[in-house]
Amino acid sequence: MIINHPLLGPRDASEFVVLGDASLIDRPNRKSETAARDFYEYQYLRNNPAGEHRELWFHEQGDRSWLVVTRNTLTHKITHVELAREFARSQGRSK
Amino acid sequence: MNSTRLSSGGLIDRTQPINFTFDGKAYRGLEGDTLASALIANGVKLVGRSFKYHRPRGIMSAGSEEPNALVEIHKGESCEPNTRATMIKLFEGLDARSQNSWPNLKFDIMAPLDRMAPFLTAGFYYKTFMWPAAFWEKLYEPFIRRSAGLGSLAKTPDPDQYDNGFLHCDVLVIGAGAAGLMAAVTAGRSGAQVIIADEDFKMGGRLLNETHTIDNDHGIYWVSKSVAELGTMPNVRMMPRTTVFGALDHGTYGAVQTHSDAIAVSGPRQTNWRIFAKRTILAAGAVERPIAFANNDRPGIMLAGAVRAYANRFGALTGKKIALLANNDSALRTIEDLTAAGAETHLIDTRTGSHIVDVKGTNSVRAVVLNSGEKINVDCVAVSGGWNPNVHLTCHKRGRPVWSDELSCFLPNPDDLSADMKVAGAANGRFSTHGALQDGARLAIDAVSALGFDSKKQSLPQAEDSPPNIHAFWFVEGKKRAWVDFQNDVTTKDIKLAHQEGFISVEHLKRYTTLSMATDQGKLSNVVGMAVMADATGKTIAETGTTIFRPPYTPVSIGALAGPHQGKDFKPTRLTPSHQYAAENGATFVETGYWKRAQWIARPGEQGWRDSVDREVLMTRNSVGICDVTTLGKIDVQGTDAGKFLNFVYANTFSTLKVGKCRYGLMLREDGMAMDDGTTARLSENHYVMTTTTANAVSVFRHLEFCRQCLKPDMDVHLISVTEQWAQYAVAGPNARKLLQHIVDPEFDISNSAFPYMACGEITVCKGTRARLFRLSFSGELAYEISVPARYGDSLITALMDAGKKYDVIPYGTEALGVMRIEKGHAAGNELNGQTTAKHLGLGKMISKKKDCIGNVLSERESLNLEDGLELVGFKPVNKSEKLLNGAHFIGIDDDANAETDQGYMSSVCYSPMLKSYIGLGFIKSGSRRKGEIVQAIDLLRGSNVEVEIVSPHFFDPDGGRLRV
Amino acid sequence: MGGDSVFKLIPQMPLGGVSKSWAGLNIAEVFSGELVSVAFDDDNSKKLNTRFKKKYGVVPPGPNTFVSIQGGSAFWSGQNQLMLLLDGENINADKDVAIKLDGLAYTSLQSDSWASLTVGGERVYDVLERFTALDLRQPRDGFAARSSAHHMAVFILKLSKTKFHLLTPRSSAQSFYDALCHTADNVI
Repeated sequence: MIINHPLLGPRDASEFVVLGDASLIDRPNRKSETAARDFYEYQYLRNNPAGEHRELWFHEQGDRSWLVVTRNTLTHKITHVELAREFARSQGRSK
Repeated sequence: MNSTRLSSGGLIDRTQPINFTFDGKAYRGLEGDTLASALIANGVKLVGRSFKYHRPRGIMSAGSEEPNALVEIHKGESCEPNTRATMIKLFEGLDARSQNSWPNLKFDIMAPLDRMAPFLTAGFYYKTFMWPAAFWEKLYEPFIRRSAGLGSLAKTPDPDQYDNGFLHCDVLVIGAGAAGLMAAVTAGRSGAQVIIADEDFKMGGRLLNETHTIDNDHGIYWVSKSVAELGTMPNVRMMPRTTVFGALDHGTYGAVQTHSDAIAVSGPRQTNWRIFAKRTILAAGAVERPIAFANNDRPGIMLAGAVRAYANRFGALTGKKIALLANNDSALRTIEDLTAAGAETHLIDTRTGSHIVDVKGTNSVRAVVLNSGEKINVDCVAVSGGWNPNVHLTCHKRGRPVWSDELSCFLPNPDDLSADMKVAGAANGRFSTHGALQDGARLAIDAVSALGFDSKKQSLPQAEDSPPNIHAFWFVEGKKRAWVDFQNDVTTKDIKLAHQEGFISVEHLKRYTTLSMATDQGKLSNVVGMAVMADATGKTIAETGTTIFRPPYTPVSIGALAGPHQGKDFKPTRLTPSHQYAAENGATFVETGYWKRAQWIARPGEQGWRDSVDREVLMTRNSVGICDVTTLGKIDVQGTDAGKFLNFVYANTFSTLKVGKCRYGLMLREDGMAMDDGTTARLSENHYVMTTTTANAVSVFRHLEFCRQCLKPDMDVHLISVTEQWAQYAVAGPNARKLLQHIVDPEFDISNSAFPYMACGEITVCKGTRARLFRLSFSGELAYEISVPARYGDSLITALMDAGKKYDVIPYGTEALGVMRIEKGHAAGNELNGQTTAKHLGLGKMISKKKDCIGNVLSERESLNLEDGLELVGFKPVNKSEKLLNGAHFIGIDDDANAETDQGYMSSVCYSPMLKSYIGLGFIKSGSRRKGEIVQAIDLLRGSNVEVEIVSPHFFDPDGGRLRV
Repeated sequence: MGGDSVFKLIPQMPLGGVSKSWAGLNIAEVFSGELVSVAFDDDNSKKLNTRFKKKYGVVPPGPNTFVSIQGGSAFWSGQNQLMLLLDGENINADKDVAIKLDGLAYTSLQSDSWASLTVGGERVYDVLERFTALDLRQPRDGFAARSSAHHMAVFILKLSKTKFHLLTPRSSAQSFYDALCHTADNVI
């Protein structure tokens, strides 16, 4: 498998470690009234689609950046790769 | 000698004879032979016995699709079973043996199994051998197991070497026949980086086996010319004896290159390559398929293309009287070629209504009987039921081939092909030489143009373009068994039986009958099997479909997949800065992940590890000991938000830590479980150094980067691992300070008042060498950790040991380290096992409620905060001389041991030299409120039951007085 | 009391300065100066670029590149991160760089974390293609990347068409060197 790193170009998957669904970026707010439920869903519930999936990969044997990779779980085709940092910011994450 | 070698012609070298043995008998072959062609040239017909029925079998093909001629080569540890004789390039001294017969091929004791055929149909083990029930396990199953299987394994490690590698190219051409060579030459001329791979040791594909002409000359001249031209191109890499076994994702391919079959080669026997290709042209050709008729598995019944290959390429006649059973035009070349070679030939063309209904001869074919009643004496039958394009690599990524009625075969599905791959020549149903050349040239131009290379259109060489003219003919109905899958002994009867029994899906048919499940993976049997099934169900072949092809295309040795990573090269070894010192002083090492750590350092006279470990603990606690703690993860954390970041990743607070101080930190997982712990030091306002456990250094760093980049992308905090940068030693014991005062430069005051417990700072040692000092204690003694840049690591351990001589300093290893921390009740990896929370560890109060942190919400879940939840406490045996076992479970003193009465488990155990008994740490319900209570510590696996008293986990110096002197 | 030791600590290279040659290939451990990691915040990146150019003569390199700078060379090692290779011995190189960069970046000494090897000769690609998955026949010199080889981290710097500088973690340097020599033995 090859991941086309947005800064470095195509790199072999052996340089990376996968974490899982990119929904892990949307960490709930602990102060919310539904925090207990929110965190339970955040931690344990996944859609597991047969098709397009957004997932987090860590370039451990490379530049140590986290990437959000959009990959089709059936065909393995990767349609989009972006820096997780930028994606996180677009989701409203900051400090 | 029954030599069938022709006096001239062929691509073998008659001036280079090669000696080999088969089943103990000596033979001679020629350079350029395969083992199969050499056997045929020597008139050997019988080469094996079939898997189930032990029927005599001969060579059927001339390629990797061979189902019968499976032999064992080499001896002893090099023994390699199930090797296809057609794929072994003959070498001097080859010793090959047939398989699956005893005492020998001709008189096999299991041959009578053939007569038991009615009891051995598909799925027989589900329907027979059932009574009496007890006999199954004791008699039937062992017998069936012993008689099943093909070949035997050497039970010793593979002595051969293998390698891995990575190749990059613009165009990968798979197959070096007419289509492949044309593609490679065309692409190569444009300047693109080209790799051309073929499983055979000679490039040329079927052009080597046939007498086709190209530009009015024998095809092999065009092959030689093309190969020579490719050899002059620095941008082309030719890889013969290289099977591209798998199409992986995104234009990557797995390929195994064989360097030699012979033993005692220097260097690797095979290399497993990962090929990264921008474009791929699959020119993998096609494999001929047989027709099923009664007794069609007799030695001497072969594929027509193979009969031609042996005559044309290897100059060996497969028979003197050859019958040809065919349903297409290409097979007719067999008549031409073999007549020219001096054989008598008979054509049985199914298109005119003729076919074979029976075969005479057991160990080799003697005659065939036609449907007309005519009987023809023959010693070889060439069979051609058509050709199957090698579509496999187009299916490895879920592609499903499509049936062509016109060509009577499956073709690659153009809609299923990945964007980078195109199929050329016979692999795409273009069976003529012209078709192959045209495809190869056209697709190569397309590929290189798409990549921006200049490619001029070239004129194609002249070659035949005859249509296949095939009329489907699959099998002959009849009472006698007709073989479909030769390797797994599956007949048309089995397929019909499967259908009768309700296995109507092609996937079920495959598994129930084992059709296409042998090492040849159905190369000859797949399509014929589908046709028989289609006939039984009344469906078309297109409707019946085919099963999915998966890598590898042909078997790949596990050794090749492992490559060089075997034995001591299986994984890297990480050595600590004091490794050499420890090794020179008699240390025994333990593997912790990739690290080698000194476990204990025995002194002369010590018997067994307990002597050493007990002594290390006593001497450290009585004076001073030194332990290499470099392996613990060290992470440099810098930035204006460093403190805030640490507050987020740790359960407790770090922004309040003063400069020049250290603090113990507990890290939780998001689900509330304790993940790791360590001490973090604050060296300056925006500079912390975190430590982690050795085992979790890598995963914690990964987790921290996740928190930093994905959860807190705007924080000004930066991380870098400094585990390797700093050599770090723990100096522990009542004389630790005195020892260090010989090392630390005088301007740094390390007295108790100036440098109290948990202080840290940057210092210099040994007259000016940069160093860091941390007053931390895992042992519970007066202790420091001193670190220097790793270049000085070895030098420092020597300096410390020298300076400590007058205090009887000793090095101590991980065992003594472990004993001392258990004596103090410090949690370690055994306690942070992924199932315990801060509360279980007695550290619940460490989770600050004033801030967010990873794990704080889910740590409050009800089930993790039970009134009678597990709590970490200490355990002592009631009888002081008894041994405790790690992993024992705690059961009430009057209870029987079972899941309901289980109250917890022992997590760490050691012999304590200080307390002179075994001690343990463990988790038990409501532990802290049950001190003094006696329970049973039961280990059912090891048959141990010890009465233990629940005590405080802080066995030694519970008030911590020794720490703060 | 205090610092009366006669010892002056002696520095050691990870592999003790090994080297080995084959026909068309040479592998040698070298001392490549001090390695300093430089990391900076987004907000400071513009100012840092300017400051860096002022002090080192060039702007910091972009991804996949290494460049010569005054006093050594530098290569890109991550988002908002660089690695400097500074000539000469200076155990406090990280502190000096932090001062030079006027506090705009956070620095960390990395010299001791890495072993340095040069690998060169006309057969260098035959060996390296069996060692790492990167395509090293990239036409340009000045290519720099971090990848893995035989389960170990490696920084690869392309010095010229036939010469590479490899950096690999100190603790596994012996395994790395052995694996590289073994690969060379397999091929040459």
